[in-house]
Amino acid sequence: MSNNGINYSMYNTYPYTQIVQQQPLYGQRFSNRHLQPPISYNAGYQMYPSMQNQPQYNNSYDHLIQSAAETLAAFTSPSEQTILNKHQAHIPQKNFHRRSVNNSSSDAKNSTRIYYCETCRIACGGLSSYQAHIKGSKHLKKETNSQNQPTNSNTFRCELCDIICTSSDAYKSHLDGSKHDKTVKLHQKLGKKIPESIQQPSLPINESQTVEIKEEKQTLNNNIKSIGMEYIETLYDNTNTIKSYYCKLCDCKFNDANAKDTHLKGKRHQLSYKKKVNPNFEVNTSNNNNSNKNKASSSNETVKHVYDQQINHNYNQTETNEDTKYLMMLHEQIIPTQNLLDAIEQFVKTVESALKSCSEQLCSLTTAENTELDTNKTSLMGISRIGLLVKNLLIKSDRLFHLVVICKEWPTKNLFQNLFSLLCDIWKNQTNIQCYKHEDTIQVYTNINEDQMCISISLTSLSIQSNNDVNIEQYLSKTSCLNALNAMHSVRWFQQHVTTRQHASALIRCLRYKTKIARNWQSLSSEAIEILIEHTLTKSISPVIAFRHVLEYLAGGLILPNNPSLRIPWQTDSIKDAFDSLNNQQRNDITHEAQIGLRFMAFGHLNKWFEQCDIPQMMLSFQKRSYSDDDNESNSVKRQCTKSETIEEHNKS
Amino acid sequence: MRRSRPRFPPWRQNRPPYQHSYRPPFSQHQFQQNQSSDVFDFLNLPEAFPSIKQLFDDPILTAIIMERIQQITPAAADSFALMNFGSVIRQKLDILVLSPSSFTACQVSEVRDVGSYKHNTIINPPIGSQIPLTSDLVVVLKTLPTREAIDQLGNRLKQDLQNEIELLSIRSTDYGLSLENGNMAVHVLLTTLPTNWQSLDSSLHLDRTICKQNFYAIKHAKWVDEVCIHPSNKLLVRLLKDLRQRFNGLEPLNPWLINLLAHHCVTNNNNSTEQLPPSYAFKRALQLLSSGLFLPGSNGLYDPINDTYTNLSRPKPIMTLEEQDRLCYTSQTLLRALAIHPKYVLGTENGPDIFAGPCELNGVMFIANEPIVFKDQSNGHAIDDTQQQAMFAEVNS
Repeated sequence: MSNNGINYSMYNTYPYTQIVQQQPLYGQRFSNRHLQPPISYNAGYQMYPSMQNQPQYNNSYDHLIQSAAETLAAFTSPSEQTILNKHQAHIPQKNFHRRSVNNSSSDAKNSTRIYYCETCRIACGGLSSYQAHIKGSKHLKKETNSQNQPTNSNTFRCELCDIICTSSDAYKSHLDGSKHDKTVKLHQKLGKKIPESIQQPSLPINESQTVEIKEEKQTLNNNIKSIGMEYIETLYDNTNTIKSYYCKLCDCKFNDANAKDTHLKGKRHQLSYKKKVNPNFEVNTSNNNNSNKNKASSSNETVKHVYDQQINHNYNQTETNEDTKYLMMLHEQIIPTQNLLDAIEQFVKTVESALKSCSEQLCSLTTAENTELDTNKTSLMGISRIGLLVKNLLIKSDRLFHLVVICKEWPTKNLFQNLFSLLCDIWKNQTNIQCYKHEDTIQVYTNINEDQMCISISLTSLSIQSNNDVNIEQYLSKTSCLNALNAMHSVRWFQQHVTTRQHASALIRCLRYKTKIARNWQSLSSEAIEILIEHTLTKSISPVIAFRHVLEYLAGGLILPNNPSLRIPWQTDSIKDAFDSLNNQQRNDITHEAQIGLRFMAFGHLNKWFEQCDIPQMMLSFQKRSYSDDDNESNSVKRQCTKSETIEEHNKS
Repeated sequence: MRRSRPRFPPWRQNRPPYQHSYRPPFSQHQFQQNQSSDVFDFLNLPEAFPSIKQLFDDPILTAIIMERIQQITPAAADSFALMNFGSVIRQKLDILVLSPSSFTACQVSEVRDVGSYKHNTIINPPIGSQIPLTSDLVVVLKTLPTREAIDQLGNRLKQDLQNEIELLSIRSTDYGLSLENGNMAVHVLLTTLPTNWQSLDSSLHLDRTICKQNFYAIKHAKWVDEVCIHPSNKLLVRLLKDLRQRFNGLEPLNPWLINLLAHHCVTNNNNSTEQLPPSYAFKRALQLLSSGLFLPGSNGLYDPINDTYTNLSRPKPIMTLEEQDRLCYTSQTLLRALAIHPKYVLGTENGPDIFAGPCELNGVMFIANEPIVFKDQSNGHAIDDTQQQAMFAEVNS
């Protein structure tokens, strides 16, 4: 990773505004790799052979097919795709512009521009106030003053703040003072040059040496990479302005971003980082070897990733008295580890490639028969990942993933049976993959590191919505097909509306975790939570309030019978209820649980709500050591690699 | 020395910078320092809940409500008798205002009707109880309300009324005087002019908070008289009072809060002037209470008399934490029960006591909400430690 800060050794490594904006409340350790590529309309991928003689689809589902096709394309050439995605995921935006225009300089990158009057040393909040200032009498007076200012050799002058001190003591105290500090920060923020005379003040008195060192230290510190930025938590007040920052490592609070920056570079922070996060991290005690330091911090970047898991354990001990902190901590715990995600990805890809080969075989089967029958009838158009997997909402305990196979026509039971037998054939020799039929879905089980995972494959077709026939014997049941279609719509809606919101997925994961551990909430679907979170995040500002609002929605009887229930946003034509499938008992139970949660949250005991766990079996899956241990990492990866190779070989044969 | 901008405004030039204010240990105020917001209300999100318009008229619930209202409204004869009783006492008090020299113990400044009788929201006391129908009067004294003065006022009233009303009993209470006549009662709430509040001594006089309360009762009555005129509003107040009478958990909801809540539920209809029908307004009141209207972190209702939100009112919060919790969990339980068995909640039909324990309501297993904050320990919670069992240990093992 290249570091921009090396080139601009005078300035902060990170632009100030970027730090403010990039602070994720919840550590987002998902890489984009596991996301389905966003829907695009210019996909030029090769579809299945059976698709080649297909006419253009004239309905709105093109994107679904295409996204499915993209996933297919993605695993035909997996290396390129992943590399590309990785590339996008790991390089943060670092190309910011510095622009200084005559008298005013503004940070053009951001919406919060800063206008700065050099003459008066005043930063204005907006263009209008800047212009008003320029026209003002104060400014004009100062301008004339500055032109005929006498230069006195006996005085000390701080160029930066434009302050003249009569004695060295006064000058020193000025340099130590907060005002000077602020000005320096402001100048750094604006990307202005700090005058040489400040850094090397040519002061005859011996004491000035300390000042000099201090100044030097400060400029050096600017080169030090801010580490452990992910442990800074940003607290908002209810007008969306940033109230304060909180460093979880050092347990201290800052009211402004500058203080936070300084803290991040400070020794104390580095030491606690070393202590709590990364024992290998080199805390620089000497200020001389600048270049060394940069190397250390950048190498540390890679090491840090490995240790990311360990710090979670440290946080268990820290006292959490605020809901935000608690939610963040909870989220850290329920978010799946990279290893687990890799394992899942591996498994899903295996199944997807198997399905693809199935499709080819089915196709060749029909062409070989070469009957007059409609050849398209048996054709599979594509595979799409649906549900949590593609929405990126997995939590640690999730072991069931969904795929949907999109067919040209309403899938028949015959086709389903063929597909099933083909899949069984593929995995005949695999001891760790089993295939079962369950109603209208195919369930593929596997054991990875003594951990069972399941992929449920359902079949659907886009033509099914226009088809008004009721269930006919030879076809798969309409409801299951419609459910699968619905899930695909839900994914599309999710990608458009929810993924853009900053804290949405973290909050959804926390709520989903509750559905896993509380019996009362088991019937609350993930889709409903997503819709609720989307609603609340549009209305409220901070994530905690949004979380509370979800509980308020539910506690206020949203889903009780005879109450306003939720519209499904991706179904525009019919007003359908997101909670249609629930019976009165479930509605009552969900409301009950939310009511308890709301009161716990209001009285500051949110943690106790999440600790109430009446399904002990659910926790078993958490107890597996396989994914949280670093020792196992290489082992499991190796196993997966060998497994996938054998699968591929098998597919070829 | 030239400075770009003074560091402090002129009146703070020589002072040290602002210090972080002292934070009291865990207290009621801790919650109020947090950001608070308006509680969620379905009416504010019409686009998300398109079916809400259809829900405004609920014929089933309306029928039950009407039935209940019939039951709880006092008979015409009773209310006429109460009116007579009240007006006689009022007459005698008016005489004291008009001729202060005839009575030396205290001087009466004014006499006002307040309370549910005046607003026509009075309901029957629970069947079988000894509580009489009551109307309220506030008597503002010019002098300090000493215990002796109150007793003498009671004696004077007794003398005056001797010939007109039989079976009269007068006792002095902590808020003033209570005059009873068999099954009727008139509460005389005593207070004094605000200028005298400073010199009140609880060992000699009426308690200062009670004096204030009684004085504010006048203002509240004025507001209710002026604003809460819609029949739907009056109906809702009756329903809520009836609910409070039957379910102890709603006790923290005092009459003033009931009036505020009813007014809010009936009139605040998402910027439209349309008044909501009682069936929906009743449901809405319970919804708001369940969504934590009076819980910490919520603004509460706007109080036009104090010109602030009820939950933010200083210095004394309207409810203790325990009361907030009790009010909330009771209404949450009632809201759920209302959806399943409306007749039971409204009291037109008997059912199992839902607060006693798990029971079956119309085929649904029903469990009442449990308190999480207790009276003796405001920090307390209802979960025992064995249940918590450190899920984190398991997650991270």
